[in-house]
Amino acid sequence: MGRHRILIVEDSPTMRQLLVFALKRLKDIDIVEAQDGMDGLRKVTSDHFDLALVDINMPVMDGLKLISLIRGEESLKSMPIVVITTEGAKEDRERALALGADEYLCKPIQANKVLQVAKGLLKVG
Amino acid sequence: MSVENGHAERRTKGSPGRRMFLRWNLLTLLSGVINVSVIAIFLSRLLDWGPALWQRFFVVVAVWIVALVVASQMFQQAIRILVHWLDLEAAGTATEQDDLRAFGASIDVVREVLLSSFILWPSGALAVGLTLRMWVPSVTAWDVGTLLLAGALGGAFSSPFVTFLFKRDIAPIRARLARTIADPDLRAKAARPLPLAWKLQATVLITTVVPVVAMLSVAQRQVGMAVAAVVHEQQQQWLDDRIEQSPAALSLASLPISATDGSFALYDAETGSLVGGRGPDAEEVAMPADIKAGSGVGSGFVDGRYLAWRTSEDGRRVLVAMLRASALPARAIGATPELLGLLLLALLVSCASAQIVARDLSGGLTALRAEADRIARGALDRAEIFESEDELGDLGRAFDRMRQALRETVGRVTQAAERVEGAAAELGAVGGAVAAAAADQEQAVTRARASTDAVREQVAGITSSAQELSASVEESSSSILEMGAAGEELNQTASVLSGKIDEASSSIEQMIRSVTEMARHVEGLSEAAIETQSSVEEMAGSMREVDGNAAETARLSAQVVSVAEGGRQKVQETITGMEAIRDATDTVEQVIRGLGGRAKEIGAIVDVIDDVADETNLLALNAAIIAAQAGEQGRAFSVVADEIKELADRVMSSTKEIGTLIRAVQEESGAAITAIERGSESVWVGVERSAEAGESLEAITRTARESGQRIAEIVAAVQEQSKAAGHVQTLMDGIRVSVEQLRSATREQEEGNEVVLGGTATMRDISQQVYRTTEEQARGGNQIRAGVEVVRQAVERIYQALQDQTAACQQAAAFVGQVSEGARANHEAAGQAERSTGDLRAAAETLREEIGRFRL
Repeated sequence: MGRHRILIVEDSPTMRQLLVFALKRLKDIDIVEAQDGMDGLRKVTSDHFDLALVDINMPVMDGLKLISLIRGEESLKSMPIVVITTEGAKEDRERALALGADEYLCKPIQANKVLQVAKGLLKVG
Repeated sequence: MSVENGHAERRTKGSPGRRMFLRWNLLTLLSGVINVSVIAIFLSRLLDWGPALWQRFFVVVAVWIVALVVASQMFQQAIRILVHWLDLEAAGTATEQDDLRAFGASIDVVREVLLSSFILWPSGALAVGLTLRMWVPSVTAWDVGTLLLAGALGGAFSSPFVTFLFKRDIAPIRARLARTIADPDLRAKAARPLPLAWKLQATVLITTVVPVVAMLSVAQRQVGMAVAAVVHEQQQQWLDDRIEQSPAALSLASLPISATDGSFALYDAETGSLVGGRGPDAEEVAMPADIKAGSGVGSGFVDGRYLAWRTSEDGRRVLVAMLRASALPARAIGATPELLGLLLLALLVSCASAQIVARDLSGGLTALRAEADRIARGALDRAEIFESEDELGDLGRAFDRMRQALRETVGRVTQAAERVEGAAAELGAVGGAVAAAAADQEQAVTRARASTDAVREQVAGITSSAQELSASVEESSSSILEMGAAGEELNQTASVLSGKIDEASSSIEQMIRSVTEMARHVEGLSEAAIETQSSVEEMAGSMREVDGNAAETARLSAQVVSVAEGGRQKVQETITGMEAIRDATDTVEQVIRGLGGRAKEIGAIVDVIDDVADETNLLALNAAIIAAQAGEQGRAFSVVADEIKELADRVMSSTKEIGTLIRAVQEESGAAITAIERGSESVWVGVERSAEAGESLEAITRTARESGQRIAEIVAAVQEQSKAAGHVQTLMDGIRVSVEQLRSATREQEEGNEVVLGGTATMRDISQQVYRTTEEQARGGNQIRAGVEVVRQAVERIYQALQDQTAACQQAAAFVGQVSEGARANHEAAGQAERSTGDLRAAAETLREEIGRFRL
């Protein structure tokens, strides 16, 4: 079993820091950060990732658009996606799941929950 | 073509309106039935239709009859009015207006009936023809034309009968109405005349054109049918011959055809498709529809060609011979019973309609002649009044008017004759008195004449002296008049001058008023300019304030941004710090866990030592026993063994202590791990909270930046605005200065005006003084002149009176002479008048006798 590569697409630096903090608990992982949807798209198409965490509200290109583009790409169809939504934005969450996201996390983010979801999707102990 | 409708049903049974309505419908129904039969007979002779087509024809006719009955209601306005009036009359509630309307309708009925006959029948026939043509494709345009002609014939045949029969019904109602409406002018206004020319033209049309056209078409058809019969017979003969010559199979190749035979075509009997053909027309004619029906032998006229056909014995093929109609020579056909019958019918209709029109006209003329005779006999009272829809009706009304006028004239003449008689009697009485008075008068006149002459001489003397006095007064009066005229002239000049001055001063006043007005406006303008300037200044002030506030806000928002940014960095640092803490605790935890592991290892070693010590203890015990058995030699060894046992016991107690210590260490390290895990959890929660705070700070930074941008925009706009306001202020300064200049100029002008006004007032005063003076002068002159005038008039009157008196005297003398002559004449005239009065009385008597002959 090699190293796992995780992409974080999130415009808030603090939130990125939190996610990195949480995911660092996993062993053998590489974390790549993207600061908006467009940046995320560029990175996800130029490299291989085992998991992507995508925020919905972002400048330049929002998360829903990014998810629909990722799911439109044949080679990326099986990549697990976790969507990060604001608490109460039920419509966004449902749309994201309908577009092909596998799991969702609600803000305020609990680091343990992040870890648990990531472990589940990466199938590691 | 009409049926009973709702109107009739609602009417009470047996009312005059209902009777009339029923009668009218019966009449039209009867004529309709006769017409349809005539048309059907006519068509059956002209149209070569099969029974199926006739059946469809009657279906279409039945449908259209309903439509036409509905359409015919349009032509029954007048009838309805009449029916309604009859009911009103029976109930006794008919007003004058109803009478007039009914009268108009009684005149209109004839036109209505004629029009409906001429329009409804042909249009109905055309509608039937077109519908049939749409339904059955084999119906040709010629058939539709024949139907139209038949309809026109039907209308033409029926119209005179219906019209004049109905007119006879209407006549008594019309006469009743004419008696009710006495004024012929009112009647003329209500009636819409139908010119006699129309009636005659319609009759001529019916009696000449229609039968001729009908006979021509029948003749044409019969010629065609006869020729067709001959041709078909020949064609059948040919076909029989051809088929007999090659009876086995009916084929074109076996036909010996000559050039004059026309064309042949062979069709498939089932599909109707052309199998082959020979001759010029073979390809162009479709298989006739009748053949499909299965008749073995037949003939017909299709697309201008005569056709004859025979089906082969096996029934699969149809051979058709065709010949163009144009290729046949025209043949004269003798008169047939149909033609004769139609001719007879047409003649009957012609005679009958001519007779009806003649009776209609002669009836009217007879009535009018009777009326003329009555008037000639002097019977001027009202009698039967003749009314008709044509010019005879107009003539009848003219007779009525003439009769009424004559009656009035004769009435007036009678009264005049009576008055003449009375006057003649009076004249006779007066005449005698006049004769006696005239004789007395003659004597008196002679006496009067003598005294008049004496008076005349006295008056002549006085007149001459008065004449002299008048001349001198006249002279002085003329010189005074001259003086007065000069004064008047002066006064007029002064008046004109004064008027001019008034005009000038009023225009100056006007000007001053305008200047004052302008000054007022300038004042207003100045105030407005100052106000505007102050408001612009105020505006600029508030703009500056806005500018200042905006700048302050911008500064504050920048501060917010920097503070928030700082906060965010702190948060990130915190998270980083927490991460370091977590890493450190992770290390500590690992170290402690390592320590715990070591303690276990030590415990294991201690256990080994404990075991060794135990063994050693046992061995030492054994050694001591063996040493005791050895005795003295063993004593030293026994000491060693005891020491060894003691050592082993000490080791064992030490290992027990070590075990206790190790357990304690393990417990401690477990507690430490739990504490560390708790601390680690707190770190996680701390990171989460910090991240939340960080995100909020990010949002604050973003918002503050945005509001900073907006504020910057506002500041720019306000600066732009306040620049514009500064410009406006400059402009307002300019305006204020101009207004000030204007105001001072106006003030100067006003001052100048005061001076002008003063001068004008003075001028006016002076001119008015002049005017008053001259006026007084003129008045004085006038008074003098008036005085002189009074004197002159008095003298004039005296002179005039004298002259009048003289003239009167002379006239009186002349009159007296004349009167004396007159008196003599009077005397003679009185005698004459007495005789004339006698004659007049006799003439008046005769006149009265004559007038007595008129019946009024």
